[in-house]
Amino acid sequence: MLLAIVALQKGLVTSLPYFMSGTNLILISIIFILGVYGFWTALYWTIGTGMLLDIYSFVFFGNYLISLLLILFLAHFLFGFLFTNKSLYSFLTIVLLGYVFFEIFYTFFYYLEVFFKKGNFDIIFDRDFYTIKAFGLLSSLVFSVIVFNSLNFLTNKLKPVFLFRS
Amino acid sequence: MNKNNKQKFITTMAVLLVFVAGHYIGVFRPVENILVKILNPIFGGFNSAGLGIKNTYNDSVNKADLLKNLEEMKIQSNALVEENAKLKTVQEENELLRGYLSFFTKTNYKYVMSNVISRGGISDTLKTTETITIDRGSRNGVMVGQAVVNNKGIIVGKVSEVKDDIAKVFLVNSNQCKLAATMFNNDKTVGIAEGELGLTIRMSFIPQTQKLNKNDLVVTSGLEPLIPRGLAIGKVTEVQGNNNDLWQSAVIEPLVNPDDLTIVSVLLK
Repeated sequence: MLLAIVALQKGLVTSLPYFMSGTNLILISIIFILGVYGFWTALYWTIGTGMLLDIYSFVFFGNYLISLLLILFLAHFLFGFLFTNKSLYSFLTIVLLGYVFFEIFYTFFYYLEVFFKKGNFDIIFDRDFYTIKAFGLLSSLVFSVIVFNSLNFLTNKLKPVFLFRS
Repeated sequence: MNKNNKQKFITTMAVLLVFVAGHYIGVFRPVENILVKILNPIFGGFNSAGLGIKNTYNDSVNKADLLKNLEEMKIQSNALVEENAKLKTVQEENELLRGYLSFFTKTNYKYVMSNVISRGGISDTLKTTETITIDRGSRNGVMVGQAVVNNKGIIVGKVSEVKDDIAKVFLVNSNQCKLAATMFNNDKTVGIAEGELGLTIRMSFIPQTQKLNKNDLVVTSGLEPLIPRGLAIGKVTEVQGNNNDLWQSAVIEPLVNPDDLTIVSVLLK
């Protein structure tokens, strides 16, 4: 499962049309595993996917791992302290924040490496680049809606619980 | 977080640190290499599937006939460019140049074929249309700076980073890809061709005294140690620069669509 999701992300998603090539399946999987199976399963999943992505990455080993772990901690915090239930809206908000913060963390560590290696700062002010990222965020949210509804159909863990006085 | 969980968390992080340290020391290199070997074909398969979806999408948004005509024209155009270059080489009675255009059969360059397994990254700071990852690395003789060509021998990029079993390639339309180039014009103009905006290639700082023509073929000049002379890069589509300017520049259209790349060859030289 873990290998499949990384293969889907690195092999399939990156070669899809531009409006889908920015979808972050790994991030979505982490957030939904956190929501359904809890922190520890999500932590091991994050470590697994992060390390696999780092093996294939040409940026320093650990960039994906650290960025994804930070997103996991952020999502865990938001689920615990900000959102009172695991509704579609809370998932979408966390995916949205997770997507933005993942980009920030990853880029920050990337530039940190560039800084220490005294490489070229290649900051992109290109409309196409940010368009792909914006579509990536949008497609990630759409994909999250599909995953949420599928999980809601398959499991009771995302359904609201009401307590009635007998 | 209770005490037990705290302990569990610290242990997990400690194990994780050991793994990361193990990577940098190289202890886990064999395991990583096995994983990469297993995953490369899967990535390649998914990448081909993704390209299939992309092509289907492109087909559906464009009028089918128009697209077909365009493709045919592109193939015809590429063939004509190649033919033109061949004719010029014959005219100049230059055996070397004639060999460059069909180097796989007529030259002794060693090459290694590889599959494109990925494009860019999840959060790559570079656009996905400008980089590809191939399933051959240093263990196959791939080195930074080597030329990557398609099945016609047209240069599609340059190796930028190498691991044991994979390598990253900057495509010719990337501004990170700089190639020593020369033109098939009367002045044999030389310069540096570099990608622009992920779409075209630009050759700058050409003296005004040199005459550039539309459709001039641009090839590698051979001034880079790992890239042979004569690999077709593209053809001039626009010449920019007023008479008052010190320099002029040429906009070059690549001969290869990066979306069509599924198998490429690295010239080992």
